[in-house]
Amino acid sequence: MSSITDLIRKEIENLSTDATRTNVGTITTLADGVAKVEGLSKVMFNEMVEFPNNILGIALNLEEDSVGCVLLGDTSSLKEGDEVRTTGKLLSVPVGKALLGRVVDAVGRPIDGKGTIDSDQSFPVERIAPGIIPRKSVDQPLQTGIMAVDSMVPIGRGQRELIIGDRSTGKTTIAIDTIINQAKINKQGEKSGDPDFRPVYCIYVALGQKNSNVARTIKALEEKGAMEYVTIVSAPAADNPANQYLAPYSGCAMGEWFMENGMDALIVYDDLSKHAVAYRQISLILKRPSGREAYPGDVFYLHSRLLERSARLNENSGNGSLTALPIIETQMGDVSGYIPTNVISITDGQIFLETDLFNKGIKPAVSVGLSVSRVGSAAQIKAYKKVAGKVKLELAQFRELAAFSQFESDLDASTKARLDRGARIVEMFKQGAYNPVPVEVQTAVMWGMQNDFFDSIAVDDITRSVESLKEYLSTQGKEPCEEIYNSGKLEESTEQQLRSALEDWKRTFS
Amino acid sequence: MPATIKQRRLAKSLLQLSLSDEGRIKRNSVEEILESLRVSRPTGLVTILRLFLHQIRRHEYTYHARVEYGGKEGEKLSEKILEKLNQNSSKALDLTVIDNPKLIAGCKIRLGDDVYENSISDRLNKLQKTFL
Repeated sequence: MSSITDLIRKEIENLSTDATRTNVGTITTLADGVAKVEGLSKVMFNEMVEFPNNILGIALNLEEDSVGCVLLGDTSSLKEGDEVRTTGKLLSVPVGKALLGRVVDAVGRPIDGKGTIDSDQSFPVERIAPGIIPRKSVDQPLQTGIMAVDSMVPIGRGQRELIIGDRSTGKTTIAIDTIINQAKINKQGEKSGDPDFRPVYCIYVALGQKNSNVARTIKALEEKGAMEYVTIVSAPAADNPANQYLAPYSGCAMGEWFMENGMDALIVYDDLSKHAVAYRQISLILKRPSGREAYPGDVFYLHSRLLERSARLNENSGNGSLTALPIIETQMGDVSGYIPTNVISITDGQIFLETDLFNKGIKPAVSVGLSVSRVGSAAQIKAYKKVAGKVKLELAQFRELAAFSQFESDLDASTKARLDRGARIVEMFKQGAYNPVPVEVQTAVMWGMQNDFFDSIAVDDITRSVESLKEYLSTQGKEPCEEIYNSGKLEESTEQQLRSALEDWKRTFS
Repeated sequence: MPATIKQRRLAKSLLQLSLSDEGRIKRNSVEEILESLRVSRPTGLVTILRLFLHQIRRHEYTYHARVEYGGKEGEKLSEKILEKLNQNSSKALDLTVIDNPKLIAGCKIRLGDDVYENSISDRLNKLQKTFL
């Protein structure tokens, strides 16, 4: 009891007794989470303003006679004529390691029922992206644990790689797999006691999603033991557009803390199509002029200023990084839509997921022709580069030949061989959800494919054989994988070890 | 019907015409403006008059301070407050003093969009926010 009274006494002692000066205004109109306020002559752009009943808003439109504010709470208690006050502060969110393992809303308030967040630092939601000088080229890999991605569209720390595709094609699964893989690598690295090990912390921004979907994602992360490295920022579909508009920026501020403190972080924006829709709603209510598809003119800037905040910083700036995996949902596979083309041009590549492939059971349904990583190959480890170098070309050739071979009855031997190899690679890349594969095992499997170990196995049996090999490599045939993990290279001696391990495995596989 | 940009600009111009050299609203000028509007009857006269009234009210707030006080000593402070405000303002100010028991003690001054407050109720509100 005495500690409580002490706490209150301390608060009273710390309370300023000076006169306060605030700039005020009155609500003139209120609709759809946006208030028009008259007065507030000294309000700043993006400043937090305070409405009655501790409801916060942000000044987004500074007009000649009025100020347009988006509201960040329940607006049912507000009415015309209510007083609005400036706060002199930009909207900030708590940052730091205290947020790991927590689920927060768009303004960083906990919504997981695990109590308050013990964070003494906060970052403004809107910040200027790092300039040219503190940046550095991407040179460290960020393993997703998905063979099709790590081999054909490798991602580096600090890269922005878009995941794009129609609804229900496995976009979120790729992002969640990547997060789970980071947690696995983090645990392995921490266990090894390597002082140079750099864990990757993750932020998952769930935007405009159903609460049930967010709950499912949290459950999957908890089951895989990944939650301790993850912060989830949730602005579900039922949340007001202002919160949905803010959530990615809040998540980004949380990620920037890791980057600026010399750590590595990964942020997933799931998804930015809904973000653009939320911003369109706000803009239309604020009566901003609308352009193509009724989006406001600055919808490109909306995403470019967000994604530019992901970067790889150089040694003088702390050597941290923030990798971004924005997600965009396309309609009927149309990548030439307004928002998809905007985000494609901002990011450093994209993973395009095809509905047809997904429906054929090829999961992850990565389209070889349309997926690209512009900077990631520089970050691939040498061993992986050696075995994965030709895969993309082989698979692209296979897709092309497969389309033509439908009309041909007689195929020459080389075409047949290419088709055969392609079909096997496709089967090899099939991978279940939430089951990332370590990079050293991926290297060994790919090496096996390159060295014809799967040629004698029927195409329908490839997936089963790959699973069996993975199992073998993580139990009996560990040595070559450990060698690859430690050195990052594929020396001749390692290749010899791999050869004998794969021969052993093949004898046991039936 | 929302006001057009043209009507807003006209209302602002009318306000400028209503001001004296000291920046105060002149009754005579306002009467003259109203008379001329009555004669010329521009399109959207009602909207223009409403906007004009709004501009006049907002302008009045810039030189008319409203002092709310709580407690017994508050009223005595009004002269000192007016003196201080006049020292910091480029134009002569008017003052309205109102007793507001909700403040408990202290005072709250509003001049234009600015509010200066040093009252018990304000301090209690701040304290409440620290516990939320």
